Amino acid sequence: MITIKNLTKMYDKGRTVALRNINLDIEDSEFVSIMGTSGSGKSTLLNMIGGLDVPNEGTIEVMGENLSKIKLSKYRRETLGFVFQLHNLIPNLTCLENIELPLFGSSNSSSQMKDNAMNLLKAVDLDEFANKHPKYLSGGEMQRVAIARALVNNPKVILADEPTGQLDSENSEMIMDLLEEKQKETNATLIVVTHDFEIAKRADRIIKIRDGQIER
Amino acid sequence: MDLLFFSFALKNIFRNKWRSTFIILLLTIGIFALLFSVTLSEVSKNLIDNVNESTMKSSFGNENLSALLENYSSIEDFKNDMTKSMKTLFFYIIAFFVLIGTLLMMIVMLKAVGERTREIGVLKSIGWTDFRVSALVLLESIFQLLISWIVVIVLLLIFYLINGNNMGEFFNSVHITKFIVEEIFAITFLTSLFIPIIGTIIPLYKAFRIKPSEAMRYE
Repeated sequence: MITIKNLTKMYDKGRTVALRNINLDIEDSEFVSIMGTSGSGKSTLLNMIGGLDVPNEGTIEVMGENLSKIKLSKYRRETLGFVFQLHNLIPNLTCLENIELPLFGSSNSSSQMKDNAMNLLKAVDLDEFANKHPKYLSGGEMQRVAIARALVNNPKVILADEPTGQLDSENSEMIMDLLEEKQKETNATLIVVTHDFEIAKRADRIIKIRDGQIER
Repeated sequence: MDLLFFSFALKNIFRNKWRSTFIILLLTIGIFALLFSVTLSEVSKNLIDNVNESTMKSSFGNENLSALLENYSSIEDFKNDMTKSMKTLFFYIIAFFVLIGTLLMMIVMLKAVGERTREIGVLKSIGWTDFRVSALVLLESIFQLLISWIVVIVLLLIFYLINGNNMGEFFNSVHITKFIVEEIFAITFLTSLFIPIIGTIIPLYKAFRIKPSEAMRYE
């Protein structure tokens, strides 16, 4: 599903090496946690898989497609679902509109988009907030809307960068339950970056990163 | 799909109410300035077209008229020269207003794009293309111009309802309804379109160039 070969990422003209010679295979429908301390390179790795950044060396293949040879915006729109540490909802759009955003540019009709978004809001138990703006929601509720947004395009891969980083333990557990439930329902591959072992141990496999390298 | 895109652009305009009010007010003043410049240009053209030997004689007197026409082979030649000078003058006046409007639009939209760097990063990370994000920025500035035009038309109609067609002696050849229905309106509208289109080139480029991974780190 995801094959990473000899991946290296450097910043500042090579002065900072964020990732060094990473080799990794992630299977279809696998739930993987990437753990590491701050600055270890775990978010950089997630950004590379998500096509948000490009490697200096090495290749990333997702479903047999080399990311350096495909249109990344299309890949992000059709294959990926992103959940960020901060919900990153657009404040002047309603919850329903926020969920519809990734569908812009798809062939779906306006009513189809609305239906899909509404179904997901129901799935995360927030349909009563459909026409409310994010400011009226709690942190946990906003993150649930963000998960609905990440799932609206039926992604094959869900990437979550510290999805519970800003939440208390109760909300964290709820968010992780929701992510796992949706991953199982859709058979998507789920990759969660975290520094919290309680979150990481829920995964099928834990990958530890230290100083830009995978720990063996 | 498009409806949400348009409503998103419209909502973005009113996100910062003070800034939007400021830019719409400036654009409204700018449109009025353009409208009057184009109108004055038309009035001048009409005045020059109506000039003939007898009207000039009655205005200047025989002696002064001879001195005035000394460098011209005929009155037609004089009229052509005057028309050319007027056209040049009004071209510069109109270009000045367009330039000021464009610069203001550029500053405001650059600020708006800068403030929304992280948001643009989010849009790109969920699959929006660079072109779609840039189209959103352009649409926002075009909407601001259209709102300003609505304000201008409403103000003109209010003025018309209060004063009728009377625009004062100077404009006696141009009625207020001409502003709205005739070519003056069309010329001004097309000229004013340059403001959002040129004024957002640099902000568009900035939005286009934002890399999602860097934008996500932006606070």
